[in-house]
Amino acid sequence: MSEELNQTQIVKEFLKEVKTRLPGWLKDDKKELKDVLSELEGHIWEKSEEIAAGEGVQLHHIQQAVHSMGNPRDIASEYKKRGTPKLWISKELFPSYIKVVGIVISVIIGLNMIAFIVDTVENGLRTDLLSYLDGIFSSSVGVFLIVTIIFVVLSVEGYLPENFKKSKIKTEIGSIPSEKPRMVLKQVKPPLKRGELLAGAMIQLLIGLAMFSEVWVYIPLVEDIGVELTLWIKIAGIYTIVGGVINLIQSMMDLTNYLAQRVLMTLFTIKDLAFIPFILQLSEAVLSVPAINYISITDPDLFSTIVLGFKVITGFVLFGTAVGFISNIYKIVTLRMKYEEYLRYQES
Amino acid sequence: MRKLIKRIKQYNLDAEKRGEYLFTRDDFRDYVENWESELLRGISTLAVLAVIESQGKSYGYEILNELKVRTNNMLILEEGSLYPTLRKLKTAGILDTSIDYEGKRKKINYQLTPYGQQVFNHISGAFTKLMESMSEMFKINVQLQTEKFVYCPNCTMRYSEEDLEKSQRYCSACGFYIAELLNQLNKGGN
Repeated sequence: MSEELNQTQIVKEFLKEVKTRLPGWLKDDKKELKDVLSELEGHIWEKSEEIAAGEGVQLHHIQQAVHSMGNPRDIASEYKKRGTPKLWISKELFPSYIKVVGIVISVIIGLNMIAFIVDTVENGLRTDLLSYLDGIFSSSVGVFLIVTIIFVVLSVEGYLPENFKKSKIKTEIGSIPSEKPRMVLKQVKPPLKRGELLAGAMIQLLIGLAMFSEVWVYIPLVEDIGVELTLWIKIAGIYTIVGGVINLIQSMMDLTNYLAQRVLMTLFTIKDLAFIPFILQLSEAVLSVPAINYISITDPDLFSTIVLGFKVITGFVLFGTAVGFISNIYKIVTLRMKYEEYLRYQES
Repeated sequence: MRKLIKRIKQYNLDAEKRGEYLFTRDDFRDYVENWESELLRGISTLAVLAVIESQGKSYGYEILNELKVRTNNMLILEEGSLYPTLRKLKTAGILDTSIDYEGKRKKINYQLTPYGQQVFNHISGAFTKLMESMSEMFKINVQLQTEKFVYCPNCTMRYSEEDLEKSQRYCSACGFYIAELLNQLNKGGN
């Protein structure tokens, strides 16, 4: 009996080694994953029987069969080799890459153009066009680099555009002809979605980079916000970038690796908590902005209204952060349960 | 010791000490291994498709054994790497799968889709004609089975008599007029 257990154990170990290294898109497709692993397992048992040559399969036959499969890392990496290489980004992902870069750079140019027009209306032709062009160029380069790195990583992992589309199950259920009343399955959503994590990562990285690189100097009326507020916004930018990096790592990992995902979610929550003192500092720093300082001298009543307004805003932000914290803790605690519920729904 | 080319069955370790043989040289091994892996990457896919086509449908373990037998142990694939290749062919719409059970054991069989058959006809035609045209360079004889297959003169798509009898007058790959190929096939000429 223990011999049989050992045999099964060796096969399971091998399959686990392969599974751990498989790309995320394959692990997300539970049916495909099941087929891939059962195919490898079937091969090992059949090979072992062949090696045993009609006698009972022994432990060393299994070991030999597992050995002949090759390195689990190599097998798993073969599944990543999808898509047609085109530069560093696969041909299949290239249109999406161009689209994302195009959209983001268009937004940057659009915002800068609006800022330039407003600035010109306010200050006439004294507006420094070169500084706007410089702003557009430096932001575009930053954005281009971030988006490119993300798409290169996705290409290396063998992602194809269909991996970001809605799950097949929903489509199939949706396409059942509804002549007779049919049982409506309550839709269960996964607690973590790769696409959402990736989108969140990109947005945080872009906003974080914008905050860190002081983009507001190109925006009229807020270009001079004082040294203190500039420092705090830059620090907030670093926090946002850290959040983006955490989400990016999460999106690249196995979503069912509950331990690693929980660790990353905890880090994200700690980052949010550590942000609270900065929110308070930020709200203080806003009052040191030269324009607001000026108001404190010229119009004390207006100044006290502004102070009250900032206090209310700070209160809301703190409340939002606290709610986010509780929600994150709930997500961390229930991650496994929610994911398993989602998997059961997928199987049904 | 690093992995050696799989088809090399024996490697004299003493030779490594003496440094007398090419296989003891890293640069030689690197070059030859890279060359072989590049060469095999395309050929192994074609060979896998050829096995599936001849069997009608087949599963991983059977495909590997068939490859060994039919290539006289010359074309040996790393066993684990076959399955990713099969999956990629399925994703590309070239293969389709069906599931059989042998006792409790699940077997995933692969068969060519109609599109896959066309792809196979094209790449096997290109490969065959390439082999034929290169044969003189390597002083070997490659005898095409002209009584069974003909090839589109324009793109080398391979056609059997059955394909041509399906009133196919133009090459399905490049649109070249191929109706007269049927006569060539009947005459056994190329």
